[in-house]
Amino acid sequence: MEVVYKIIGVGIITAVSAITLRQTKPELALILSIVGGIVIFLLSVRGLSSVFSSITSLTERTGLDQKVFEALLKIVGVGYLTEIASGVCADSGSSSLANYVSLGGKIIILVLAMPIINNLVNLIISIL
Amino acid sequence: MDVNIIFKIAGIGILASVICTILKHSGKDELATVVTLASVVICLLMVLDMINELFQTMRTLFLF
Repeated sequence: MEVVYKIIGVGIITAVSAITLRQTKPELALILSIVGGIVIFLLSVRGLSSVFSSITSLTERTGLDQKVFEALLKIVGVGYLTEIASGVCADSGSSSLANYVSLGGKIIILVLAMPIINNLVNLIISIL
Repeated sequence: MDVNIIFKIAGIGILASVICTILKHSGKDELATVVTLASVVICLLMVLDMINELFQTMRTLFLF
């Protein structure tokens, strides 16, 4: 439960020090917000490994093959990473760059999702 | 680990801005830009360590 307090503390400290740095050194303020974002993300992701192990044990029981679940994990990971990167680009003021990064992320997710869609279609055909 | 890297970068930033204002007042403007560049490079190296750790975590956690 104390992870929440850590995240809030790091967020507030990063925001305040980024504001103080922005007047004199705007580029360092951007670097500071990048580091703050990464630290918060690392803090929040630490608890995910137990969630994923329980999900894998769950999917084994349902007989779903492991490949689909791994593709799902990759999609979630790509989503998080592109979210962080587009946030940083939006922070730096170039919002078009943020849109390009999120667009790239969406395309990669589409590519990763194709095997799942094939799997689903085969499943439906086999049922009918 | 996490909070002191933020304070480290904030400290470098404040130090660099103080040094730059001093150098500007004493007339050495080009030295001020060199100090600014040096501080940006140092902070970028620290950010590289954080990004490397981020990618390692993503690799182990999301089976990249």
